[in-house]
Amino acid sequence: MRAITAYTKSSSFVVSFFFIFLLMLGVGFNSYTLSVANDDLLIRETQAAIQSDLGGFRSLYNSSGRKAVQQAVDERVSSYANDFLYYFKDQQDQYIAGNLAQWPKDNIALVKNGVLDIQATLAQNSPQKRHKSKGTEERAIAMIIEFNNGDSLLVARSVQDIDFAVTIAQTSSWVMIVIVFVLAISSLGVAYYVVSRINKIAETADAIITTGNLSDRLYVESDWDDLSKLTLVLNQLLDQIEMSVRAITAVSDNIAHDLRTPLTRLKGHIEELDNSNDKGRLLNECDNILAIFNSLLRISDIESSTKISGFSPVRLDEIVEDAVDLYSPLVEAKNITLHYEADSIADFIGDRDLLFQSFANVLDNAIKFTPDNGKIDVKLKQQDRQVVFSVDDSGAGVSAASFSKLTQRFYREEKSRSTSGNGLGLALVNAIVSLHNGRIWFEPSRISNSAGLRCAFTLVSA
Amino acid sequence: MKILLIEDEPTVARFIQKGLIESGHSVEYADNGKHGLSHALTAQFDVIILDRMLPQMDGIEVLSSYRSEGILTPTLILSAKNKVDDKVKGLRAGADDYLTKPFAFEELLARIEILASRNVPTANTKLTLGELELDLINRTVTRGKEVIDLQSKEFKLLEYLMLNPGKIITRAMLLEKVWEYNFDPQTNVIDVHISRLRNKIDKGFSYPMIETIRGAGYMINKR
Repeated sequence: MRAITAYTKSSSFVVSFFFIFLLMLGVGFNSYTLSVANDDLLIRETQAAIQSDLGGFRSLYNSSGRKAVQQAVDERVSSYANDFLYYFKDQQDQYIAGNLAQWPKDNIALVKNGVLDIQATLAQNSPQKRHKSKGTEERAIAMIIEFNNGDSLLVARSVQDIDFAVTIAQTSSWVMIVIVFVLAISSLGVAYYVVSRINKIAETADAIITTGNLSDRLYVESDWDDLSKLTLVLNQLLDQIEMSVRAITAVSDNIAHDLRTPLTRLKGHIEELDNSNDKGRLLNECDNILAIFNSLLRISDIESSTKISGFSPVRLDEIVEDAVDLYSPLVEAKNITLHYEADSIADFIGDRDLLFQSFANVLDNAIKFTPDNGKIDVKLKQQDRQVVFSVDDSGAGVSAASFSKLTQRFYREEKSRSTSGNGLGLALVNAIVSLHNGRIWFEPSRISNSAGLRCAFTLVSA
Repeated sequence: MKILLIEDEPTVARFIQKGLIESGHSVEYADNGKHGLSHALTAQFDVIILDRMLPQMDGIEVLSSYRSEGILTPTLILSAKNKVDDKVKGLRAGADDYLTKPFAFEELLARIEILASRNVPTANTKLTLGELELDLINRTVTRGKEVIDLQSKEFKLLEYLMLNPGKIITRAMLLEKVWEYNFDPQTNVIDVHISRLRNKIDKGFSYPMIETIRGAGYMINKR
């Protein structure tokens, strides 16, 4: 499992973006219809109502004259349910009927097709329902009709309500835009939170896979949400795996431990045999088995030990030099050219004997698999806080597919089965490197023109 | 040799006791720290084998108790812990040697025999064994009349062997005393060093002085 590096590749982010897009589309449409379309529509409707009213008056005037129109206007005005505004005047601008206080003079704007936008004031004696607006100016849509003898009738309808509705619509649009904005930010925040927590889980899982440290656990922040529950369950899973692995190791350790005593006895019996040709071979076999058991027990001992006890300041380059020195007769015997290069590293905190063991095992392997007249490069480098130890050889090498298996207990490549060794050397190195917070890896050798292996590991001072 | 064994694990104790008796030593056995201490205080022993972890009274406590009573019997500490600070603690409390479990019985036996003979410290600047002579000050080695040129590790190897003539020296002991590391070599690297040493001090002479003891280690003899 790898941590999500690009947040756009996370499903929660994609879903967030999708919903934000949908919400914005919805709000945009809503705002458009409320503010633009509605405004126009209501005004047109008002205009149509006025027009039909005017049409009625025109035919009434033509058929029955001024008196009838005056009566009709009075009737309309006195009706409580009426919400039209009227002003009926003669040629001399004399008031005849209507509920408007006066003929509008200022603030008259022509909208279109004879429709006027006016400021109208309701007369004080009007019986109509809009008491509040009596005496105050309000915006209205008006149309004027002029009859044959110079009489004029103004019919208007207040658009105050429409204006109010439009204002509400606009406000609500803004409120929704703000809500969408807040939702967008918070959903992105939630997505970020989820992704970063998933990343934390992925990182820990990754660390467990690379270091093989099964005692590592996922960090649990709280226990209220689904991710925390997932984390808790995964931790339980890790507990189970760790327990099973420990149980298996314990069983194999117990076998190794319990078989040692009978083996020692067996060795004693062989020792008592009369000197035969087989005696030496049998004793060697016994010693090999005992050595395997001891190595196994040693590895599990190191794996289970705590880090600080046994650690002291050491000079790493001296330890490497001692290991190289110890193996120099073997190197000389095979006429191998060994190149050794080490940074001076004093005050490294670690276990001196175990560090020596790890360097020695890697060197031992390199010498074993390097042919006569071959080459070996040994390097010890300080890199920031960690130390890198590497050994390149010019041997037959290891196929890249086997690199990860080299540190497994008892793993031996097919082609190396004929050589001496028990497949525990690198497992021991791995345990020691882990104890020193390091990591071991394998690569093709850096020695030019060789198919050999490069074994490298890091160590961190405690 | 009279040996006191203080060990609480019965199987380990039986294994050691049996081996020691078979090698011709007499063994007194205590299965806890208190009994062990009273044995150590009341009787004379050549060597004490003391387990580090004991019920009632810790091995280190037992050791420092009888050391403070002026009992200087050479003591080897056995421990299941492969930890340097444990070893340091043990040696500081007055132990003479330290062996971690698991161990081969030959290893224990070889170490006990070295311990028992350690009571005579060598003030000599020259070690002599038959016709072989090692000068610790001039750092020269001669066999008969021939001067042998040794590298520094070969010199240290021979010095340690000559300090303990006629006694089995295990490979682990050589690593510990000559290379000063407590570790487990995967291959025969020690044998290669010994064979180089043999090439210099035995080759061309009438008889070999360094003997290989199968399944145990090496021994240097006069003749």
